[in-house]
Amino acid sequence: MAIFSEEIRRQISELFAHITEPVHIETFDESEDTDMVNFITELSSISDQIVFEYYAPDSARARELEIVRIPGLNLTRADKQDLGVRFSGIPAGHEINSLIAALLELGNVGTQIPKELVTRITAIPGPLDIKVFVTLQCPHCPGAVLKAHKLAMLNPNITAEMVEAQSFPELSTEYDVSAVPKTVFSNGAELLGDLPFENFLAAAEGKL
Amino acid sequence: MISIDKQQNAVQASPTLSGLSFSLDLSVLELADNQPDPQILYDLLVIGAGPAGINAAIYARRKGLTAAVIGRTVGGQVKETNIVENYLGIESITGTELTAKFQSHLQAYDVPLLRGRTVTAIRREGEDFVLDLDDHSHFKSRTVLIATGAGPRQLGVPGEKEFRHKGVTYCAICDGPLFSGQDIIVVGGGNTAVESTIDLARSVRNITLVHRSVFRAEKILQDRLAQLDNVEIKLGYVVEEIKGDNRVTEVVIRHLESDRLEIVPASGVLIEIGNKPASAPFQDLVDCNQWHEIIVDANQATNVPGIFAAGDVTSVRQKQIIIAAAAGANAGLAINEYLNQHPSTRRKQ
Repeated sequence: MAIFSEEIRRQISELFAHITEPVHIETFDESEDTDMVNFITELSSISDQIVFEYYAPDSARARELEIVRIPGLNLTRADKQDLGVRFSGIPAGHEINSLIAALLELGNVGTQIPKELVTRITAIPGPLDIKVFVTLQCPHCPGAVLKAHKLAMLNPNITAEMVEAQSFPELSTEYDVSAVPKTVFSNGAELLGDLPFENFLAAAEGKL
Repeated sequence: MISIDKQQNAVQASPTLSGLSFSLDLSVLELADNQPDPQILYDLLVIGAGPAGINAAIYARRKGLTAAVIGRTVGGQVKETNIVENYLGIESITGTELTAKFQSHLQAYDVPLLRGRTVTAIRREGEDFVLDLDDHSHFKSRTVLIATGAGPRQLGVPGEKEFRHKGVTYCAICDGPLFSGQDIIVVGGGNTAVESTIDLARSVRNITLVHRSVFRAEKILQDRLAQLDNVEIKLGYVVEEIKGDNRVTEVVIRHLESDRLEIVPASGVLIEIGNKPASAPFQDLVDCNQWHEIIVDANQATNVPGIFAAGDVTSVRQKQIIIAAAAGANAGLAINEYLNQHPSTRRKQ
């Protein structure tokens, strides 16, 4: 049975039509017959520019990227360089929007960030790990996820991971997640809510 | 050896694909927005991108005015609404889907839209207005519509501030899943409180619904509520204090008639007691009532010529999506008339 309705498939197809560079969705899961794998397989079937790849949790690629949570995704361009754009848990529900936003961004359909902001982002020394805790019913969460992912895409020292809070309750408890979106930076900064990009940048810079 | 954290199915049910909607949200995707130009003197600048603001901009464009919208989030409160069942012509739709329809409708008229920004002040410059934004940018217009909507009203009880985001929440659809399998309290007696209770009852263990008087919610919702066996209704009670350690553990409620205190164990408190108008930056500029709602006349005009207001930020009694949208339409048409009657402020063609 199809996961996406015809209408959603049509809408996604229209968006993907703008993609000019292939984007690879590296999918890490226990087997090749899981909700995550089926979801990504169907999504990637909508456009030739979206490439699905499956990796087992103990694969060399999983070790190379230090993938510790499954099911998980890592997005790259064709050169397979690690951009630190990760999803832990299925980005379904509202999170399909953050997945599509990241695919479009990597496929050259993204929004332009002012030069002065790009300069500030690339100047962040790192390494910096950003976790954005979400629920799939949260309409504000994709906005926070895509801001964290943008930081990762523009700075090789930054990794940004969407964490679906219900799928990883121990991690959610460890980070005391009782409201979403909650963004936790490895430099100690925390943000609650889908705040303006400037707040995400300041947190990444350690200026909060 | 890297230890792998697998998606866990214990205690909290992990989400599965079935039953999840995949509605695309154009307001999140930020696809090549047509953005307002700070060099242009607009006929109308709308502050707020909810139903009132968006509809006003559409009506203004249809009258040939130059208009742009500046807002924090597209859809406003609609986006946080789970299901909308009382918008004429649409029997049932999610708040996200309705928001996407609003935005798509706005885009069809090529109305510039600037998101994620807050207007901090409106200043007069000659016959025109200048809007100051939180990112220090400025935009100019001949008229302004304030349609900033409203945000959640707080209880104002001890513990509410301390435990915000630690069990106290104002967004049922965002944080509700985090209370899966737990006991929670919902405070309020209007449509939103009852709708949220009905929705959350499917995933939490028990809900205590606390309200100070009788329900204001529509009967159709009260009937659905009555069918739920994991909801205890406490009418005639108020919340006295929210207690906990790192997170909420219990809530003290008081029976108004007897003054008797009761302790309800709960790990979450959802507060749905209505909204307060988002009028703070404008309260010194336009007349407001005792609840800080902007006072408007039948044409959505404030006491300041050229400044209009519509939707939940105004003194309109009923706060509904369809009423806000209608007020936006009214404002768009009234602003066109205003500009026709004030030729000096009419855009030079």
